[in-house]
Amino acid sequence: MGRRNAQAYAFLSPFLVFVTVLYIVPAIVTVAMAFTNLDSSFVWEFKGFDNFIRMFKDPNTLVIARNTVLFVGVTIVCVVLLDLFLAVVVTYFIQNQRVGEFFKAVLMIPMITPAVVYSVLWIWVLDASGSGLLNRIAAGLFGAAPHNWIALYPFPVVIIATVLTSMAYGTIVFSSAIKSIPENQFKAARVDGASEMSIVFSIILPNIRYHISFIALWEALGLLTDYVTILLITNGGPGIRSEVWALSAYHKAFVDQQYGFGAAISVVLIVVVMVLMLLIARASRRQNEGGALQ
Amino acid sequence: MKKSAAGTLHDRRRERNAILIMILVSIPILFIYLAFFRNAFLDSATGELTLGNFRFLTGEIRLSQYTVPPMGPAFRNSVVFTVVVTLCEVIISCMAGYALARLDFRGKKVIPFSLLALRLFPGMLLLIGVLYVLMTLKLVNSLQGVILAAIALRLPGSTFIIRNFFSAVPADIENSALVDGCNRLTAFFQVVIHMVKPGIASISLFSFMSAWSNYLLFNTLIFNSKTPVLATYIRVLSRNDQMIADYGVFAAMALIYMLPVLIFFFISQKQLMQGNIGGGKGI
Amino acid sequence: MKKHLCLILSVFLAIGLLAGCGGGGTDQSGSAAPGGEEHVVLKISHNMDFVTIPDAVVAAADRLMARYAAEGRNVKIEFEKDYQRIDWTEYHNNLVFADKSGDAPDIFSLDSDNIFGFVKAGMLMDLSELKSDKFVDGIFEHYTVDGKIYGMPFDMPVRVMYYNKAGLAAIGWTEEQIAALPGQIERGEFTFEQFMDLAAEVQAKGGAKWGLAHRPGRGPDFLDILQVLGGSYYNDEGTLVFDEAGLTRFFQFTYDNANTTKITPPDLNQMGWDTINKMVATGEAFAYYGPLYSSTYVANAGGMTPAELVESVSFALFPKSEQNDKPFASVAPQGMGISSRTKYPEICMDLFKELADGSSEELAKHASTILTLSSVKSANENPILTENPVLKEVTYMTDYGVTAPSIEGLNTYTSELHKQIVQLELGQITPEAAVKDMKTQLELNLDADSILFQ
Repeated sequence: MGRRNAQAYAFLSPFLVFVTVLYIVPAIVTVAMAFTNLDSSFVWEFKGFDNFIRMFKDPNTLVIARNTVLFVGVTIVCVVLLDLFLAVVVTYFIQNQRVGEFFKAVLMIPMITPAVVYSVLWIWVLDASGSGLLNRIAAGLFGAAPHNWIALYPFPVVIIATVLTSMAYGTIVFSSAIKSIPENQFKAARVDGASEMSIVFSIILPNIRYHISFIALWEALGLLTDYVTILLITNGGPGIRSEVWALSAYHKAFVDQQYGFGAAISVVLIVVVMVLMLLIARASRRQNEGGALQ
Repeated sequence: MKKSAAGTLHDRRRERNAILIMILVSIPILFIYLAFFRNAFLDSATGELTLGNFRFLTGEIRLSQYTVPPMGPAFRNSVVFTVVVTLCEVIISCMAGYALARLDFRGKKVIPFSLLALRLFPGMLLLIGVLYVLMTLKLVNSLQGVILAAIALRLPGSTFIIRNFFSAVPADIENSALVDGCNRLTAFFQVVIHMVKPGIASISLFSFMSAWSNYLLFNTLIFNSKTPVLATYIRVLSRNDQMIADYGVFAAMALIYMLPVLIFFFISQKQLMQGNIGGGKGI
Repeated sequence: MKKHLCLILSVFLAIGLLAGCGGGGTDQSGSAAPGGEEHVVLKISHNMDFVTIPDAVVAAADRLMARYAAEGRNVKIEFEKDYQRIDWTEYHNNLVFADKSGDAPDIFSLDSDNIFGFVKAGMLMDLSELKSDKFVDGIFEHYTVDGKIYGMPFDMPVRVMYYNKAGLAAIGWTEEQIAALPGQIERGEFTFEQFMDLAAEVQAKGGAKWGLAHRPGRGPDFLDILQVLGGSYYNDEGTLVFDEAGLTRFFQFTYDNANTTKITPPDLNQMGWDTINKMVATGEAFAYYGPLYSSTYVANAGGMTPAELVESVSFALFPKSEQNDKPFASVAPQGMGISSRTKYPEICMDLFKELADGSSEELAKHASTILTLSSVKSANENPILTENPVLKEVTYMTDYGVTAPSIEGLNTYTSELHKQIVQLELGQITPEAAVKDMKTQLELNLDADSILFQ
């Protein structure tokens, strides 16, 4: 047993070193920092729950929390519905494998675009001057005057931009899940004379229930913690109209140089993420116990 | 998913409609991208076709207020960073994933659980902590430091995925190799690795794309202009508070920036379509 | 498949390395020198476009080396330059982090409102011995904290009002009237209220599309208007002050301009610098307020040289108003500091002294390039400046210059101020609510002893 242990840890040691030094330790440091008022002078002074009390008293906190819930909620619904729709169309209705793959590849393009380029792409499309793409289209179709889309509708812009990057992943997951539904279920339904719609709703959807909930929770996690897209397109603005929780942690820490306060905001978010994580764990355990087909 | 001959006409019509729907969905995406990258070949002042926007490949460009340095150092740094991070991540996570899937040892139960916990822990929120640690190790403000941080932040995720792949490999194959006289290490390299090739392809792909696009880590952990990467290099032209100085030059840079990603993407499409990959973006 | 990947990866790596070879190499650190020569390498760091500031230091090194040689000291000074182009807050952070990891540059540019951050982190060397009457009076106030001086001012930028002469001609003003306007403002014969009415009139009669424009991001420009309207943001001790009455007037003014009199476009803050500069250059915006050095950007956006710009755009002091009876121009120097950790404090200090002394020509060159006056008296008398077509018009403003001291917490104040301005102009908040909101935010974000509420 001893020898096996040594072998195992030999395989594991690089992983353990990396993760401990550059993942676990920073996590501990961040949590510790949340209880201080660390700022640009880098003096550690323990302040207890001051940061959290301050978060509680700030009226902006409510706005940011509401923005975050709205952002995550709306995006998840859009992503899941869109992905389901696309997956069904691409996998079920389109029989030709290669054609399906081609469309899936197109859907992936926003996802593989580096964030720095993707955000500029949106800024270019929504350019406020008369030569911006959307303004030109609107002028051509409706004769509308040029609008400053990003300033007027920052929230929808950010949601749409995020939905487009997230849609490929879910579509692919659902797509392969649909492919693995046993053929006889479809045959039986067809024999019974079921319409396509009812096949979709009574066979496809129930079979991929687990995948749907996985994607929903997975995306929720990503949406709560990924702020780079919003940072680069609207930077939370104008004002705090598109500011979400994770982004405000970044702003407080790196723009206002209040590292302690920023850490406290991160800690609150981490707690929420962990709760979600427990939900995933519980859901997957129940799924494994209940069996795949229901 | 094959269909029987009966009902084919119906299906074909459905399929045609479905293809039409997908074309409608794809057109806006392709149109926007093509329209944007078309700028790379147009002179922003005159609107004529030109290759002048690509001058940054060989020398400086003088835009209206400032001079943009050539792209060489940023490109080189990006390449080195991406290749090193991807290689290390694949190797280390394979080793760890294998150990977790196959080997029996004390603490075996604990690690996968904490792995899951870590994987869902948002790396992006730990930036200041990472900064502190790197400062203590005197590795901050250097490419090595960012490489180490990038590897560490993606390891739990990759390990989790590859471990699932290892678990799916039947033990018999390996056992027969061991019986034939290989030790654990040879068995690992000569037998097992080949069975998880799709897994390795997936994580290396996502690691590559994530490392190539990485902006936040470099923005935070590098303090001067000595270690540019493509993300920070291109960002200089597109800071939020000004109008983008020159869409032509920017589109040209963006095209060069995206080219490797597109190449890798097309080569490895099959792997990406697997569906049980669970890579995603992350830091 | 794996073989393909490996092949591609290695080709990629090769291309990348080759590409890197073509690009610019950075400078090397000092190496061991032969003989009794002292080889000094100074790291000098700067942000954004006015590279004439650090370049002045580099140029001064030549004269300094000559002076040392005359004294018998054999010193060779080289510079490792780090000129960045990033957000000022990120630049500030970078410097702080660099300092904490022991890698701070020896000489670096200071961001205008935030010297306190550096002082609190103990990053700056005391430069009090620099102060002499070679410098313009009062110019060091901006860099003084607790009686000690921490930065050297390299210039004396003034913030003024811009207006377009063609707009006045369009409403029927004669050439004499147009030329007389700056003088009238200076003597207090033309007030701020009259100026705003004038802007509205020019816009109404088609002389311009918009009456008044301003910068699109946070900055000290708005504090000038606050002061014109009789508000204040600091007291005699240099402590930040929240003047509720003054801010209410200012917010009302801001709101009205965008929503009632409509002389300011409501989405001005979402336009980029380039758009706004072009508006000022072409006269699409009749009036503007901001630093004089913006005129280089304005001219550039309009496709003109600065000399051509002053044919159509003129500058004036901030006029007197009902609440403030003295016309003024704000002074906000740009400067550099010396790291407290530098290994060559004496040489860095000598470089700065040299700039005020024999190398003041470098400062004059800098000032005339970016269009400001200089912080050093002899530079102000240099023909490079006195014959500059733009600067000729504004040399009288030095007599009306108001320099604010360095104020702790000003950064947060201007940040919150701009957040309210954005919302006020978009019509999304009332002035009273804006005042309340700003007060709450300042109470939360600043230490109790750095701000006084009135």
